[in-house]
Amino acid sequence: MSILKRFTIGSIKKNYPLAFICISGIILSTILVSTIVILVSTLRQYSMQYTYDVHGKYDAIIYNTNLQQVDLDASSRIVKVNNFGYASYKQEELMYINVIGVKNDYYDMASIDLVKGRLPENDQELLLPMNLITNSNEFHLYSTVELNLGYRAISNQLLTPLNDVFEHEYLIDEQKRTFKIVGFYKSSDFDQGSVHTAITSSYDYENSGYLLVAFDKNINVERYLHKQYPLHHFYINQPLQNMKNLVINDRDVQIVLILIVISLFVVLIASSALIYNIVAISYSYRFRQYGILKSIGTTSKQLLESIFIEMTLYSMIGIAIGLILGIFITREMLYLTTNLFKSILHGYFLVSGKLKIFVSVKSIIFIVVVMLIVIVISSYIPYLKLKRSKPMDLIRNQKPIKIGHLKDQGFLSEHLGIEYVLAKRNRKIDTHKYQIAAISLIISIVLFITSTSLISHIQKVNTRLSEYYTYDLLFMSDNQNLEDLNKIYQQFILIEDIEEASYITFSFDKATVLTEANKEIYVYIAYVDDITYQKSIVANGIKKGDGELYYDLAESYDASSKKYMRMNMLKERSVMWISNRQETLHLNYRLEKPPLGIDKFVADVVIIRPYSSYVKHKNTEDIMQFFFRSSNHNYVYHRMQDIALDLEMNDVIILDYGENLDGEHARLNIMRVFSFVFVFIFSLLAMVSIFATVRTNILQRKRQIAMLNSIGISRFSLHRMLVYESIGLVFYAFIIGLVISVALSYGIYKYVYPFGVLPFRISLSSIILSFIVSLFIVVITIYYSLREMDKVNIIEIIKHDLM
Amino acid sequence: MDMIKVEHLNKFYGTSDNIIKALDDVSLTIAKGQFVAIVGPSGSGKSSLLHIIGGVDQATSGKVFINELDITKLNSEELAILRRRDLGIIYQFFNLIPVLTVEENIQLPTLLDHQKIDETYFEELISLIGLKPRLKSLPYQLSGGQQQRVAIARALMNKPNILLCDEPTGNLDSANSVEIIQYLKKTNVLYQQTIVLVTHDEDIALMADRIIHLKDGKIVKDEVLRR
Ligand SMILES: Nc1ncnc2c1ncn2[C@@H]1O[C@H](COP(=O)(O)OP(=O)(O)OP(=O)(O)O)[C@@H](O)[C@H]1O
Ligand SMILES: [Mg+2]
Repeated sequence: MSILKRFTIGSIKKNYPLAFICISGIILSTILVSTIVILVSTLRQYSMQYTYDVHGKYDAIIYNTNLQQVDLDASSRIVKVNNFGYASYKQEELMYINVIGVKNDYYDMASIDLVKGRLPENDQELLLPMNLITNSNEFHLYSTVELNLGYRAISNQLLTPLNDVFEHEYLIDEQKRTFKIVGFYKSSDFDQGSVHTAITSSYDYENSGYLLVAFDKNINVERYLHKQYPLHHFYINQPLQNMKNLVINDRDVQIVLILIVISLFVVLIASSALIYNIVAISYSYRFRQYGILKSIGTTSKQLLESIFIEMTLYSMIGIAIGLILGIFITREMLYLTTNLFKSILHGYFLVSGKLKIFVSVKSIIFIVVVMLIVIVISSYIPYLKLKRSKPMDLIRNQKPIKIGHLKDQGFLSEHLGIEYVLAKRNRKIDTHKYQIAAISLIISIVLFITSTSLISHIQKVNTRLSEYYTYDLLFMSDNQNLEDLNKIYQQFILIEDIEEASYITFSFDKATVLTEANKEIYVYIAYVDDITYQKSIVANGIKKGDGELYYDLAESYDASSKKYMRMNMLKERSVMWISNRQETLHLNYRLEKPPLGIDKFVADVVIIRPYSSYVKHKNTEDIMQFFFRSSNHNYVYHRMQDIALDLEMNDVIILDYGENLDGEHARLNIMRVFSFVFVFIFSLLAMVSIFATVRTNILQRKRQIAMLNSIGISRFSLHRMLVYESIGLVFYAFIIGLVISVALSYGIYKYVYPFGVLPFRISLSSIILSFIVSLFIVVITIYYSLREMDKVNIIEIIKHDLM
Repeated sequence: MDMIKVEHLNKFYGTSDNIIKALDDVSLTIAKGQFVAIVGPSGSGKSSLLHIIGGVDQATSGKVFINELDITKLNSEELAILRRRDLGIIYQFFNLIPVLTVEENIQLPTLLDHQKIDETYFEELISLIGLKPRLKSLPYQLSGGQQQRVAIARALMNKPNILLCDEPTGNLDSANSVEIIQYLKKTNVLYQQTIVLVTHDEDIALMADRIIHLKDGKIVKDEVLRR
């Protein structure tokens, strides 16, 4: 073994606490980097899968090709589709069914999901999109349909499914064919608008058809196809292209991505700072030895070799452990949040499958390379310092103190004594090292304050949201046939998990308020079912005499007082005239608690009457709506859909407000979990960094401390000196951290809520907490290191040539 | 009254198969106000003895009494106070706090005790060591001998009962050395200070009241000079 290797190994052994700190730093940084990278690759994999599921795996559809001549890149997948033609099924509305014949490879490529029945087995059987059942009631499972199939054309030009339906288009080459309906598939964006796609099984391709193509290579599909097939029409699977090319339109996903990129950036900076700090310290710790080595003629290259041996060792151990831990932590984190994620994503996608960790070789290589770059950079800078220094400076191992540093005869020095002076000088001389500890501390403080402020903000928005809705499901339908509505309502209220239900017919009118200078306002007259009506009379403690019940609440944001103002639009006991009804209304009873279905967000005057008194007036378009409060909105929602389907009630709208709220809650929870994990790991990082700084500072000043000890410094004085040192550090980091946090929180707040639902506020408790916690960490580290100092022999240290 | 009493003091280094006896069953007493020189060849255990008496090093066995107080029984806190108030120590190497100026280094024991600085005494000390123009300098800006003189001034600052000096004049020329030792003798008389001084210098040793000769960790000769 070369003498240099022996020297390196010897130094590592002697300073094993430093090696330990250095490896921990690398481990923590690797954990952070790998968590972020794996998270991104998992989410990307997941959304890729989702895009495949919803939009299909093909990149494009080429229409009206001569199927015998396919000339595409060999590496691409091609699925041939036979076009049997179009049949119009709603004469009055110009709607078409396009029948296509496919082989089994089509289902995978187009991601067709069977909902009912089975796949067609021959060209006599037909698979229909779900959209068709909800739009018409002509189609039933296992019934037969007769279709007049032809090709759509306009002025002798063939049309594709891409073309909207033209008023003057016509079908040519019509042929009558009969099919048996064997199944229904889930409709997607592939099947929208006026042309529905019906699928049959066929093996002969004599007709003209389409090609579904998927390219293995990442190319500009549109440009390529235009070059290759200049005369054809294409449908480009844009969602898939966006996904492949990382084009993101969703604002929420954008926000998440920006946050991830910011955190990756912050992580890299913090890691570099930490590793640099540790490496710099561990070298300065040996500067004297390096100085002697240099003075007897060791070259810089040899020094670099020594550093290289050491860092390679640390990197191998640190990155390996960090990677394993990172994968493990990410997996657990995903496991914890998978349901939350699902309910978030539910708002955007129909979630299929589990959110499973996805670790690719690519991402591992990426992590390792990033970490190596960080390590190389952060250990090369201390080396440069070594290289440039004169041997004697290294042997002396003390930077000349500037005279300015001595000017501290201020108020504090006078009152806090020699301990303060010592602390201040030490800090000024080692500014450099303290700066790095300060940076880690600042990052942790910023993260903590920013995330807690944002979360508390979102939480407030959320509670507001849940205050608005007293119901979680709303049902309405175009079909206002009372018999039908009654039938379905009676079935709905039988669904278990429904806790409260009401039906209301709203009638909208213009009214003149006679008691307020004939002011004109719009009012709703709500005919509430009699049971609910009686309930709200009881709930509001009203003894009903003459006059109307009404609910009157407008809420608005008052910019000057920065508060939400609740106000009533009308004075009590108003009298109004509704000319459309020729009625004078006396508003005698203002409700505090409105019946189910009438909510704060109506923000208007609502007159409440029992349904039994309902009379339809001319010129009004009254509609009836149902409201439900349930203990399980998901289940009730699906049951309601099923019931609507069973009763063949079309054009219904069921709104699941509970889902929105759940989504918001889940979003909040995920943010909580993630920010918790991040703040936690960052705090660890900061802790290691502070620990490294303070501890090595103490180690480095062992001699000074031993000297002070031999002069008879009391332990109390010593602690005081070090506490002053750390308070200085924490204070400095805290002030900067606070400024950055406020700016950052405000920036994010402005970005996320451009219209300011709630006034911007920063969480005071988190500020105080972060200050106390950082001070605590610093003080603990000092105490720990000092305890070690207490045990050692003073004279040994003074004699020992440590530096 | 015995100011310092050492009983059967042993200081061993190394393992049992390769034992170095820095101090080998040393017993001695030093009376209050005595000026004792310890001489002996390099490696004979002089520094070891001084460090153990000063409470900055631990003996393998034996007892050390300062002013009838067994310092081997004191905890580190009590030892610190003892060192601050009753002992002044000057080491062979590395004596000063690098971040403090000459002035601050000298005043350090008083400052640590949160006492008021005796300005006239301080003036006297710095004119003795002749570093008045360098008061605002930092230790690394001084030569080895100048640093040693600062250490001497610091040891004297609190007017300790006992002054332990490990070759305080090792880095000084003979004129300077004699001047400092003469000052030590003066304070020795004036404040009834007990002084233990390790030296290689024959002339300096002869200025003491008593010379203890050490060799291989043992007292080989203990002579009291007539006064
Ligand atoms: N930490 C140690 N480990 C091992 N042996 C030690 C240690 N410190 C001192 N010794 C040994 O103890 C013996 C006495 O050392 P000491 O420093 O007391 O000698 P000294 O008389 O002061 O010498 P000098 O005149 O050179 O200063 C020496 O042989 C030395 O090698
Ligand atoms: Mg010695």
